[in-house]
Amino acid sequence: MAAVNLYSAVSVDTTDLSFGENENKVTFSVPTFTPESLQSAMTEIKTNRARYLQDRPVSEIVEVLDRVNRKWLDPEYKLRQQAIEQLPITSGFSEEMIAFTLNGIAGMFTEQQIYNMIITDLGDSRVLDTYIDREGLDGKIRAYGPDIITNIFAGNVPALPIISLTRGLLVKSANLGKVASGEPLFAHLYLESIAEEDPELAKTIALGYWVGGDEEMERLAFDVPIVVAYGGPQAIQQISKKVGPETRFVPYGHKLGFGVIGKEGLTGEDLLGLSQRAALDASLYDQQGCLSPHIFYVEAGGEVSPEQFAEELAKQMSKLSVDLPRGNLSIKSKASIASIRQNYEMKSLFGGEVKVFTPEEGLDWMVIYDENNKFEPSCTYRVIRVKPVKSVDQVFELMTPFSDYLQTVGVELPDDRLDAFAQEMGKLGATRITPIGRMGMPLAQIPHDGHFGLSDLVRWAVIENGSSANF
Amino acid sequence: MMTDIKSVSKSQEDLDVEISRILDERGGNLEEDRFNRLALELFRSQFESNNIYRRFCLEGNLTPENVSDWRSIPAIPTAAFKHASVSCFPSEKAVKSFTSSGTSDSERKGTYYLDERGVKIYDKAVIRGYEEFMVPDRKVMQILALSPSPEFLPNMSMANAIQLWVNCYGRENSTFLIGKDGLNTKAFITALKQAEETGDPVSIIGATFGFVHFLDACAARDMNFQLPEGSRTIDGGGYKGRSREVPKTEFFSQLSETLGISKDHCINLLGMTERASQFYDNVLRNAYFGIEEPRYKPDSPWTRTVVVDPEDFNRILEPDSPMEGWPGCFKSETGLLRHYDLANVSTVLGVQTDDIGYSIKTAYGTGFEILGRANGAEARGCSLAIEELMGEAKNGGS
Repeated sequence: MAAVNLYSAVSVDTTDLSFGENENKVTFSVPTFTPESLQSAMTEIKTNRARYLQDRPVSEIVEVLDRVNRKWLDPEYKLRQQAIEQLPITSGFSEEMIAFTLNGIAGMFTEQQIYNMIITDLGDSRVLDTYIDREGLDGKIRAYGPDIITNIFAGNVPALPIISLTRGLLVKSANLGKVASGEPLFAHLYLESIAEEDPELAKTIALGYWVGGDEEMERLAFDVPIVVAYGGPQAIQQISKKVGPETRFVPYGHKLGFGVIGKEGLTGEDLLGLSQRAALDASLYDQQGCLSPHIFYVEAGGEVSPEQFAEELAKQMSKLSVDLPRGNLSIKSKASIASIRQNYEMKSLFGGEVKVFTPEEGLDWMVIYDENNKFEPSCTYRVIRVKPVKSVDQVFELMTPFSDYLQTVGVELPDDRLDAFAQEMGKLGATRITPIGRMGMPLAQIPHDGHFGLSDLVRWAVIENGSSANF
Repeated sequence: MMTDIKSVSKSQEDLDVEISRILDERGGNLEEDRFNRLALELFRSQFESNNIYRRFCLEGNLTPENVSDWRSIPAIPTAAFKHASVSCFPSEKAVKSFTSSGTSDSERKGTYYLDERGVKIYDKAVIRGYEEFMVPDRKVMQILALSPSPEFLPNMSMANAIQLWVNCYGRENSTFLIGKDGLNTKAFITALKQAEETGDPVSIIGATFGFVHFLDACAARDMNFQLPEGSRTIDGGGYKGRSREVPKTEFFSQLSETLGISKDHCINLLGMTERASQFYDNVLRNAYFGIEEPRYKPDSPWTRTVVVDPEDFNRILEPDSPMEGWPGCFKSETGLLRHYDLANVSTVLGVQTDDIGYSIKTAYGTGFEILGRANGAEARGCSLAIEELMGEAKNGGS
């Protein structure tokens, strides 16, 4: 049993959740809601929100969040140290990966970044405080967040709850958060750091766990104006069925990323840098992110062939597996990767158009070069395929069957080809086109899965001037 | 050159005779020395006559010259059967072939070819396994096969095996109940009711997911049977995403309750297209002989199963931790199963599987328990699981 006191601003019971296998098993007591404690927590945070948050200028909230996130960037900060020590146990990621992710996600939400996000999303940050003029509008407009938002967190990428909580606080709502059984600790640590900087603000947030799908709990938890949920297709589908017509549902479901490299970028000179960036994309979050690439499609006809790129990528994957080690795998995942590795090794040994690059020992990463360019999702954990295409235009057809799941596309294309490519990719359903090397590190200000994260949470109100007569 | 080939085929014959004899011996274990000698001899013969296997061995720099322990004999991955013909004979000598199903690589199916000598020993292994673990009482009874017949699906190894069992231990009213229109439920229910009336025990053999569908249908109709004492079931093949998955103990409880068969007469079978021998739960044999052990799949005298670390196939995980509640029984860590099977005379002795499990050692012998199969799609989190993406096995869960 791990002795850890998880911070909670409201009073809740605890449940023991275990992580790891056999002798590596560790149990954490995780704050858990019962129907009674959930109901009272929801009432309490709504009251606190009315008292401490609803009428607070957004600049003050930004200031607190900035202070909190800067603490999380400080290697000496004790909660960060605790996260780096304990999150590997729950999430299975390596300490280095946790540290990298904390830098990335906390770094996404420093003051300037938050303002950029509000401005891109809502047009003007003052709109969260007061009625303001807007270009083209005959009147004034203001945005209101609901009294309470229910957030269902997922465990695939650590520190992800920062995104939800930041958005929820900026629109001045109380936030209920259901932590993921896969990674229940971080949200509590983050809430504790908010409490250190601003205890009143922390009192507008209630976090806890319940078994996903519990009818009574979810009837209560989803009886709110907005439910935001991260999760896999089944989880999202189940939640969507339970969310009533009066509730706005904001799902962030499974998505799929891949990379495209044009022949112009494949020069001897650029190969090293390009491969390093591609290796980072394929290794970040051990490929568990919705923005992680499953495949790199590489255009033939460059100075460097797609196969040579695969070989160099393998070298860089190997290097990165030392600097940013892969996390722990369950036996099932290990077996799956071993099975894929065997299959490709046999295919390559007995004449298939494939080549497998693997570490001397172990399953830390794998690069599969396969001339059959059909799209195949990876089993993740740094198993990346490189497939040649005659032209990047081939990618549109190859990805058409998966258009519903498209999100991030990493690209290495000269400017004069980028626009045409982006036009087609956008048509197909992609929502984020970014340079290779940036796939795993989005900016806070961009739309999330094609919609703006703050706009999803607000209700707009206008004061009409009444000066222009339409009828 | 000529003399070389002759000496190989001579020793091959001798080997076949000796292996055949072991298959004929009843019960008992094969002494370690003898297994080791036979395995090394078979390895040498297969290394020489099986081009694909030799290429595989040379890739790992392992040859009959530098291998002296059966545990170090290279085990070919089951995936190899998808990409090459892994046989010790030219393809025109093949008299039978089986095709694998339910593998992760959907583009290709593995094929296992047998020549005349291969078939002889293969068939013997299939029958001997059934005798040892399904009919220690040598009971001839009606076999109800929830499977297509070998005439209908000649390349299905399971259908072939059931036919062999029917030939040796099936009464004349034994029947295959899956045809081109699927399972003949009516005939199945009629047969069960008849068995209840006549008091003659039956042996029901089918795919695990098929049994689950049957159990669900019975539960929905509140239907139960009380089959005559001595009735037994064999389920094999797992779920393959074609039914809800039921934990093993719960599956056997439901099977036992619905059919009125004692749990120690419900046997899970692990068969594999790429290998002659099949592995059965020990419970029926143990009940018959009064052996007390946990439920697991024992090795036969002519097989050995080891478990390897998926991160390092050269590391064999030994059964050295005590099993809770079973004094004198030990198990290994969980890894991937690897079988050495002397009955694979004309293919490859050692086969590395994708099956997840652990090995077991008791006072009565060695064996293993299987926990599942690596599906190549164990994704979590935000990334997409292959089945979900492809729409297979979707909504299969409860």
